[in-house]
Amino acid sequence: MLRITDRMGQLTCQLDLARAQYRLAMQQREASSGLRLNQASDDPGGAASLVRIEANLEQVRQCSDNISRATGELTTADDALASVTDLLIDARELSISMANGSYTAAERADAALQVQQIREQLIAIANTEFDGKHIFGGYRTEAAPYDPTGTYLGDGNTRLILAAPGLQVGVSISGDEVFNPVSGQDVLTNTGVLASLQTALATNDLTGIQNATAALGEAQTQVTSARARLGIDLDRLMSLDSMMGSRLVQLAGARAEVRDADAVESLSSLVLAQQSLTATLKVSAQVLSKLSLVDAL
Amino acid sequence: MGGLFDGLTLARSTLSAAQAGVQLTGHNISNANTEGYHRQRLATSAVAPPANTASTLPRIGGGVQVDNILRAADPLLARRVAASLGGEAWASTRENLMLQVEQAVAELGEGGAGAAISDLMDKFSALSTSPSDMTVRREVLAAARNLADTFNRMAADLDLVVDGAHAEATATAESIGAKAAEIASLNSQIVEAEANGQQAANLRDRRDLLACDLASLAGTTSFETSYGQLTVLIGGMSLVQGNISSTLQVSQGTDGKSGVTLVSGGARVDVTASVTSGELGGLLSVQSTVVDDLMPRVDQLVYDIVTAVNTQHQLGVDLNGAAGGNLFTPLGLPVAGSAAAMSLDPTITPQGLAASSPWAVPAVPEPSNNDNALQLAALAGQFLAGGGTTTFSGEISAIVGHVGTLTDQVMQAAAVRKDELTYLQTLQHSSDGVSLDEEMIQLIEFQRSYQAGVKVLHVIDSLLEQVLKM
Repeated sequence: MLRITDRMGQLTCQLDLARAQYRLAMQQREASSGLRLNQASDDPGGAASLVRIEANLEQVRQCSDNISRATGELTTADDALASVTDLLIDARELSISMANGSYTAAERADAALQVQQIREQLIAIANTEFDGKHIFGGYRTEAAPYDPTGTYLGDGNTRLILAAPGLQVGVSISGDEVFNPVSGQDVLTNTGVLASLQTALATNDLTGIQNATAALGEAQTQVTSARARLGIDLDRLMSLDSMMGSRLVQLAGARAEVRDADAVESLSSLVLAQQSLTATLKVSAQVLSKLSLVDAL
Repeated sequence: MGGLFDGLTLARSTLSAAQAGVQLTGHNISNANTEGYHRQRLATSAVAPPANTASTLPRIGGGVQVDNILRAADPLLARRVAASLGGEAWASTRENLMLQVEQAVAELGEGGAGAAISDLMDKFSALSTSPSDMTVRREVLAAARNLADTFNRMAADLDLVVDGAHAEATATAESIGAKAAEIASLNSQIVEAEANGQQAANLRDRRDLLACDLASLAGTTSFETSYGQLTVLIGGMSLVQGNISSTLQVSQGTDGKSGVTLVSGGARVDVTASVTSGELGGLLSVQSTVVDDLMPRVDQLVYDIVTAVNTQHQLGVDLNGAAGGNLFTPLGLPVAGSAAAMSLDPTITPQGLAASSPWAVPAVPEPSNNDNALQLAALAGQFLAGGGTTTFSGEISAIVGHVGTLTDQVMQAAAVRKDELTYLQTLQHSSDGVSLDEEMIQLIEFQRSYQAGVKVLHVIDSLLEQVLKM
């Protein structure tokens, strides 16, 4: 039989009480912070994935931010190209009607002025700015990409943004690609299709007008296809944006899974820890004030 | 048979034995809560009858005599307790320090290194979207500075842990030396006392307590020689032998770790590697975890980040078309010390951030050229850390997991060791400790024995009175 001495009870009580107090403190911390994972040692594997999840979460949030910043620019470019198409249609209709033999040289000279205005308007549109940047200049967005003669000063670069982790999407189109692509129609320069039309009208050159009409048709197609490319990019951005949105929700869920405490569970554990401490206290009180001969004598 | 006067002597022996018993019981009761006290018992024996009596009648003994005071002790159990003390002190010391290390390295959420790394990478991503936006450029520099600060703070906190452990080890070594010296002196006192036939129970209690302290401080082992002297060993070398004790000296190496030297007389022996238990062992083990395991990983990560970012940054050009410089102050080899040395290059400015690839025509600005910013942002996804096995975020996540595991392990170990120690101490109290109930019973026994002795005295006295009245 184990001999029982007075200090044995004290030793055990001390340890049991300390443990019950510690458990209660841990449960209180979890319940009050709402976090299951307060420090790495609470769940080392969980802590490692929490760091990865949070890095991922921030990355996705930044991508979504990148997309919303780029969308405005892309929409402005799209609107600009829509106006370009309208103006080209105007110019073509004008050239078709002027090709009709019933017009006089004076009327054609007037039309030449109209064509000049259209060209000036187009150059202004090609110099569209968004947020202080000339959007059709490629990388050279500081100065206007087109001078008054319609000569392109920008470059052929397409700006890319990080629209999803590791995925770059184009968010611009260079002026050259719209107004003077390789083996396409030159629209704006002094030797371009509008300038030719203007000259043909001014010199009353019917063949020239007819040639210009055909060229304007091609130019119109060329702008439409450039706009279609922008549209594809815009659509892609929109779908990536909603993808980033759902990825955010997913990652936030994963983070909650790893980090957050279940409210019901942590509250019931808290109550349990409180009860266990109360019980330990009662037992300890009994052990420490144990029946002793000292009291009986 | 002896005369009536012999009876008086006999009664006196009863009274004095009972008195000694009451006193010893009192001593036990007084020390019921004294640390390291072993309960004591009277060893008594019957006094043999006088040998040279001429009487032919059966000879009667001369009462009781107190021979010695016995001390309840279980040397085997005491050794297990000592070993357990060393293990418990090792684990709880390591637990305390690892919690500090965890706080320094594995901070979760906003203030952590993981958040700082991803923040810089995300700011590169933002820069690629708005390459000429000055606000974004300033944010990039702020994120880079925050990253450097975070790693500086981590390195400083870890240094603090290592230095703190050294200071504690130095103090511990001093106290070990003092206790060893006291044991050596007790060794000679005990041998002397016991050679003269005196009891040395209290001296032995004190010596056992000191031996337990040493076990807890440095994981020493001890055994008693046949002369009654205690030999204390630290890592197989003797710390106390007979009346000679050695001292421990702790010195800090260039890498920050403490070295422990056993100094006995003129001889000096390095015992660092053999101190693997006790508080001292715990302190050394945390230093080794920080200096040999964690710090090199953190330094390597910082070195990788700084090198990769600077290399990519230099490939680009800034807002004015000038070639990019360093974003961070370049770090030289060796890699050690990188985390403490990480800083933003003093020459870098928001305009100087190289977000663009070199301009096609150097004279024509390309403010929307974001090639290099995209490349910088892409560093986040490349396997540039951990010797080319993982990303920057992946590596810091692995480090956090590693520290968490180490801390968790030692917390569990500490809890188990504490349980084990308490269990053994309880057993020890069961065999050596004072039970008040027992002492109460003893007290009554001695009281009754005294009363009975008085009765005997009374009877003899009345017999003598009868004789005198004749």
